Amino acid sequence: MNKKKKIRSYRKRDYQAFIYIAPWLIGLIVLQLYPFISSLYYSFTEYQITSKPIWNGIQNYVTLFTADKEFLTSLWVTIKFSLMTVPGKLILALAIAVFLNRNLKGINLIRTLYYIPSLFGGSIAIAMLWKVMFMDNGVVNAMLGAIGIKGISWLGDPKVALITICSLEIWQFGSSMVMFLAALKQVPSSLYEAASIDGAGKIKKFIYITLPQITPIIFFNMIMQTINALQTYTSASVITNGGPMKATYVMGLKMYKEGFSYFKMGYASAISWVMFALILVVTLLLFRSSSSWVFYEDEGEF
Amino acid sequence: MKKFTRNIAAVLTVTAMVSGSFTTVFAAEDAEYTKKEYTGEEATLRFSWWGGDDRLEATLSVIEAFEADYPNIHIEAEYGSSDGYHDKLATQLASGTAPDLIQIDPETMPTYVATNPDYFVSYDENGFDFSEFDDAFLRRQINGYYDGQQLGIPTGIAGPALLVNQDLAEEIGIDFTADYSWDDLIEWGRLVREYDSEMYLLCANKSYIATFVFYNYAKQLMGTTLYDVENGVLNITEEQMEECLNYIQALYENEVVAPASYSAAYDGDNLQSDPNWINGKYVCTFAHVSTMNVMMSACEGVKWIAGNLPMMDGALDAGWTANCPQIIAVSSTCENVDAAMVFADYFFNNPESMSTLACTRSVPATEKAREICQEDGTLEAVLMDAANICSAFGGLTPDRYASSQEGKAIVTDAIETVGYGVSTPADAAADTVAQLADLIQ
Repeated sequence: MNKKKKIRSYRKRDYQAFIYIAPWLIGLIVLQLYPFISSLYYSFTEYQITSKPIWNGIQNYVTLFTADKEFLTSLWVTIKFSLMTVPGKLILALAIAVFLNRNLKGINLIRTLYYIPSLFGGSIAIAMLWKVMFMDNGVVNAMLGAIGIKGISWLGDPKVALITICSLEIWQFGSSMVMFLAALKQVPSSLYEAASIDGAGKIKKFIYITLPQITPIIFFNMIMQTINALQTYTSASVITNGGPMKATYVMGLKMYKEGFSYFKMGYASAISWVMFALILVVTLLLFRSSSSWVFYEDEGEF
Repeated sequence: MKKFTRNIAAVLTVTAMVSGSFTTVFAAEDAEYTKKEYTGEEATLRFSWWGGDDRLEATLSVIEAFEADYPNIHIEAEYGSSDGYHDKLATQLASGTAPDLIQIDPETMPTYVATNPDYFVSYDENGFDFSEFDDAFLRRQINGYYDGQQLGIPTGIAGPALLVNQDLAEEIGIDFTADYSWDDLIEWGRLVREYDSEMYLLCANKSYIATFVFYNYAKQLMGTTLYDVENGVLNITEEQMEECLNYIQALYENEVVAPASYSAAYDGDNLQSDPNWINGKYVCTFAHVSTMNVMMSACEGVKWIAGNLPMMDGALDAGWTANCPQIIAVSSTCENVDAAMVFADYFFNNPESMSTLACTRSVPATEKAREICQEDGTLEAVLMDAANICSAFGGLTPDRYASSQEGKAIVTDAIETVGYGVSTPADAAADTVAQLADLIQ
């Protein structure tokens, strides 16, 4: 009997708790859950943004994979973009972090300078700056010309344009670098000392001590950067607008054009769900693979 | 025949309107402007537009003067670039959050009206004073007239133009003032390359080739627009499409225009950023009458003229046509339509506003405004000439499918594949016609 009374009094307090979490709860329902569910519904409709949605089953998905060549192009471009930017960013971030993981005069200033590009994030201004720099008559070609190298059509050549876009993404490696730097600081120096006594060189120490010790951070960075890369939009939109010849036409841009330029919101919702499914599958695969290459000191148990 | 007669009538009217401004001796000065009274409650109106710095400065000045005269009405200016403007507007209209007064592209407006005729309020039903406007110009769909109601007001007289560096053209031996054909452009392109290997005849990107070359070439070839909207069918055949793309391929192959890979960085309305344009390395460019000033400002110290526009031998339609550069509409979600009408009246009918706005939205739509600008010295002859030239052609107005963003994107993609040499005109034509046919289904 006593137990029952206790449960009742706790229930009242539980209800009160809802008041405290109400702002977050409203945000979750209105700004995330509702758009999430409604976009799933719209993906099964013909929805012209300016009129009411009409149910058309899986037609949008059928069209995407059977009739829309542009979608398959954008899917392939997105995959290429991810394959270039994720490893590129991680390798550069790790290399710079290793370089900065030492006691030099003014090292904090240098670390800050390297982090600055990441503060700009996906900003329009930086994308515009990139565009101007890489134009045929831009500063990059001018610098190449100064050392006798013929200018490259960074934005106009379909084979090069994606690399130009990727380089902007890779340049913004600061956040990954900071995490790598923190991870490097955590590697016990005793391991290096022991390896030195055994005659290991710098490269061996890096491969057999540093890398295994920071695999949890590599894994985390890889997951986050892959998700970001698969959703990319700004640089492709601002710098090349998906061109030339659809060479930078990523899925985010395809989704935007279908939804907001052509007003096919149902079709755009279907693209967003394919993108979501792709991210989900890639993330699950990465998680599954992690057991064979990510090492936790507590063996993954909390 | 009926359509032809209607076109001729429209051409004659517009031509008479535009050229009339040179001959009329300020008769309009007699008609004094009476400011509308506003006794309603305090109102705040949102007004959105796109445009360059000149337009921004002039519009803000008019707003400032209006607010001084009407302390009860406050105007919130929402201005920016044309990039993404209509994407955002479509979302705002759908969600009921559109600004109260909206500048709209006349070729995009039909899409909005077709999906929801109630997005905009009727100026006629709200008693707007159109006495300064010429009815024959005003009451056309391209100028905001839908199903017997004026849903938008044209801000000026515009259309396609050919902006020519006259001294350079003369030096090379090219005469853009006489009649000429599309094939002449190819020949002149070769002349320019022989004259200077760093120069091109025409400054154009894929979007401009689509807008100015493809659509007009196609209309002249077919005698119709791309689609028969009433019957829901595609007019253009694969053979006709191939012919159009053949011509565009010739523009690239004969180096009439710069390589597609070069102009890719200056796509859309960004030709003025092309350093070669700035440095006078082109003889001419296609432009809208409303954007000629931007192009001229980017390349100073040049004697500019408005050139004639190319015509196909045995053309079935004139192709080139005058329209308006933008339309100002009042959103149906506007909570104080009376206040919006008062502002619109001040914007379009007040002589002070006419003087301030000058030609920042192309050659003004009303004769009175043109007279005021002429008196102020702000109406440039080259703009007037350009408006006169395109008005004189009187070609068909593009249909709403062809001028929709998706329709334009399909055509522009075809031009790009031909420009890059990735597709032959025949392959690109087959693919493009199939995509255009899908668009109407």
